Amino acid sequence: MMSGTNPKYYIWLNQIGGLRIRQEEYGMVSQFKYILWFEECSKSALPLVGGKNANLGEMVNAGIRVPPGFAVTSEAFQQYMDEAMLWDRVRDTLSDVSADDIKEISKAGSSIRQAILSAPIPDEIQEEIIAAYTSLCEKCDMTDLPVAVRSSATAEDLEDASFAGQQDTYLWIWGNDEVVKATHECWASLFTDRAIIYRMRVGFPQDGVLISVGIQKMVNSRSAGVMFTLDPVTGDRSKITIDANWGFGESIVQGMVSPDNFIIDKNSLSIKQSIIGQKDKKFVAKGCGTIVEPVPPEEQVIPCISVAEVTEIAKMGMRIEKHYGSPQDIEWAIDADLPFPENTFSTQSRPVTAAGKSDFGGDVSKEEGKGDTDHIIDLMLMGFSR
Amino acid sequence: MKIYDVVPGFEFDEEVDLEKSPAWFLDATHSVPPWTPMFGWFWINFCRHGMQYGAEKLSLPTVKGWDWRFKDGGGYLTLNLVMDEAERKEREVKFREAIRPFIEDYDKLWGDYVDEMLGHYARLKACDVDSASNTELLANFEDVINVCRRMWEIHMHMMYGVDTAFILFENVCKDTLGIDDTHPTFHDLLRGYDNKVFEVDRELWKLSKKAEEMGVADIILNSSSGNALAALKDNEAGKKWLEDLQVLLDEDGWRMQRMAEINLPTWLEDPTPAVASVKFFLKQGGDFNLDTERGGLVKRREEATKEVLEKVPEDQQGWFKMLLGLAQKTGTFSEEHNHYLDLYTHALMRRSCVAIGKRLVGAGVIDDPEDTFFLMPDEIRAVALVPDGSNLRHIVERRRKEWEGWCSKENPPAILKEGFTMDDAMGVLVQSNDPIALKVVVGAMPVPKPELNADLYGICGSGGVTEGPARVIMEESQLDEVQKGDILVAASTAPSWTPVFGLLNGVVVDRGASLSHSAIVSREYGIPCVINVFEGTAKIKTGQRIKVDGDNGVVYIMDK
Repeated sequence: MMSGTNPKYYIWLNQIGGLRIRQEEYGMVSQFKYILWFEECSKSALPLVGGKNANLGEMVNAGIRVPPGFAVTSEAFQQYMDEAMLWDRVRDTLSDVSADDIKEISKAGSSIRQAILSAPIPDEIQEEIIAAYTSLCEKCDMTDLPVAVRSSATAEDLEDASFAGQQDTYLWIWGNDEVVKATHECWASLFTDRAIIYRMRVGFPQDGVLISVGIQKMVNSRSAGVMFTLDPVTGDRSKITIDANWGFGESIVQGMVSPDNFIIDKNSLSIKQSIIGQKDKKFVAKGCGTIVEPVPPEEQVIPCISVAEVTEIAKMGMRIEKHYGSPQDIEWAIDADLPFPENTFSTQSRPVTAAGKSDFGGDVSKEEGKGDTDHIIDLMLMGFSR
Repeated sequence: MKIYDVVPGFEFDEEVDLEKSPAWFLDATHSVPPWTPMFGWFWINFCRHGMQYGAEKLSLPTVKGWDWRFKDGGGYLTLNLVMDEAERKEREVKFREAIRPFIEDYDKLWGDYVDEMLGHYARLKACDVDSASNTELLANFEDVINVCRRMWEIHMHMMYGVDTAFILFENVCKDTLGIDDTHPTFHDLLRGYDNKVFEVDRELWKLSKKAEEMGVADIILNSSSGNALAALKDNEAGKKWLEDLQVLLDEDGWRMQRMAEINLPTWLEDPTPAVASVKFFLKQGGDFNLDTERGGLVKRREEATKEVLEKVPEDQQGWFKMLLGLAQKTGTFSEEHNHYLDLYTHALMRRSCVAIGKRLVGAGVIDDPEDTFFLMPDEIRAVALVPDGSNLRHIVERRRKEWEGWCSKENPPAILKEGFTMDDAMGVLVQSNDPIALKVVVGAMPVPKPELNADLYGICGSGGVTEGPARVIMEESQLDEVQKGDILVAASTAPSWTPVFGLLNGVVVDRGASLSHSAIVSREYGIPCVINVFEGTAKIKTGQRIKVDGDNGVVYIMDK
């Protein structure tokens, strides 16, 4: 429950005993050697797939739908670095460089990245990435499916904290060659100047970091929006509220339109209130991004999600809340490329912050009859045994 | 005679010590630059003792304090972990009772300790070191040793208790209210309190007003801080003003310029830093900033408390309020203890060593009173009563040379057993759940926010947004350069820097935590502060315009 210590050090702990990690050690048998589908990723696979991918895997396994995809494991990266003898290059280039010498680091970093980008990825690994991508395309019934390619660090951070890396994310990538290339670039991003400096400062070895890459379908958003698993106005936790608009969710996040608004009762899953807004604008995909477009007049005043979809989104919200153990602020989307209900995704979720009314956590609550001092001491002892 | 160039008994011995623990960390906060041998002896012996005493007295379930070694002027530390599960359970039982006084009556606990220490200090000061006999002088030195040992016991008993409470409060806020220790509301909850360090600053501010009344303000303003004293002494009104300053120093001048060393004069010996502080107040003009700020801060604290309590259910408010109250006191403790504990004791250590040094110079044993910093207590004992005919120059010379060697190179940040990596070592630190290690060694790491497109990413030490010229300050002697409206950029800040905050619009530091000096003082002055940017002093140049966004914990360089 307590989350006081920096989680990344726990990961470091998990890695004692060396960095060579193999799928078998984690009891996984996948169709691939270097690829794990998100549903095969779990917390215990973290050293293999990194924080972001492990988190996605965990959500999938908790029954929370996310856009489908797979992880290129850290084992692939390790194999590649070994085969191309790049670790020596990393060590040699950085052996005499001091953390204070920004110029030298910049020179060394760019030479390492160059070396990585010019060393070809072994055929075996390339073939697996392409095979997995092809099967993702088939699943979505689309050739050249646009995907997001993201690095997922195994050592230095968890899902959100890529301070070390600022490792890259590539959106709207499609085609076999492009997907392989973006993966390659993610690998190289492990050696950005900033990442190198960070590791030097905290004394983390430059040749002891591994990286996994996540490849995930870009949502082709028909309708999207935001959901709170409580009523943000009254703080009532028996309700779920959903705001929705056509297209991508940015229009809601930016408050660009008056969205459709639904309030759902958690117990009966019935819609207690629905207000249909005037939705005159929406974000749509165009090229490598999204643009704003007018909504045809006849669509402006009709609900952008069906009753079945409202219920499905609410059910997903309850699963996410249960999984994380606290009220959540969730971004969701309905994908145009997949059939219902597989098309209902959570694209991001975070705990409801102090800004919204939230309930006081049950984990730290005092039982009736216990003294205040004793309760504080209990909590302190819980902290020690974290 | 065999001469040891290190702290006897605590020299780092690779073979033996790496067997005891595979990871030893340099205490870079206190032992960079390297310690003189005498100060190192005091620190290694008694800080070590104090940590073990504090952890044992509290019966911390997971850790029995730290062990320390001395290597080339650096203090290296490791954790004494509790490995046995049964022992841990036993310690938990005792912890329940031992921590109680912190929760039930913190004021009495700390108040009694302060009174005890002031009693020790009064006794030590009662010895007139100029007229004392050799016997009395040595007795004073032995007393200083005992007082230092006791100071560290109190220091670490308090600090372990206080940090345990503070960490719990942080976690409760994070887990139940969604605000962490970098959140502005979290800061509002804890600020707006006076403490002893601010009291001294307020007295210095009063002296600045007096300087204006007495017509000596211009003398202070127009001379560099090094020359101000001489210029004041040349002037009748200036002399009178210095007498007033002396009254303050007699009471509160027992402090050192450097946090953990005795080789620079105390404020009493050389009031230059005090005069420099007065100069800051003169430059700034107007009322004492802290008092002006305080009203607003107290109001914000009350509002934040109300806002937070609304989210706490009725039946949970009792303990929550108690814990909040304790956290508020502990914020003050982390500033105030420097004054009553470390700095005061060190000032008296210096006084005793220099006084004996003067006798030894008189007897022809050494050349300079401060040569005693290159002796060990046993060597002092060997000559303090009957110095006649002794000569310790060969020891001083050899150790000074050794010390100069230490100062000319950098000590490694950690010494690790072969095959043991830094991440393994950090793992051990975290596993210890040692409250001081968690607050000091494993600070919060900045998360980059690419959407902000900033030049430096840190964490929020104090909220708010400001823009202004940067002033990069690498050491205390440069503080004189600070102008009103500057944004201070430094590696970190120390208690003696506090008065300069009144001139500043914002602060950026390379390292720090929510309880570090720069963050606490910025919050009290109500100015934005970004900590843990790592590369601030490397990337920012004096005179560049920078924008400090405390709320988001980022810094922008406006004219690159």
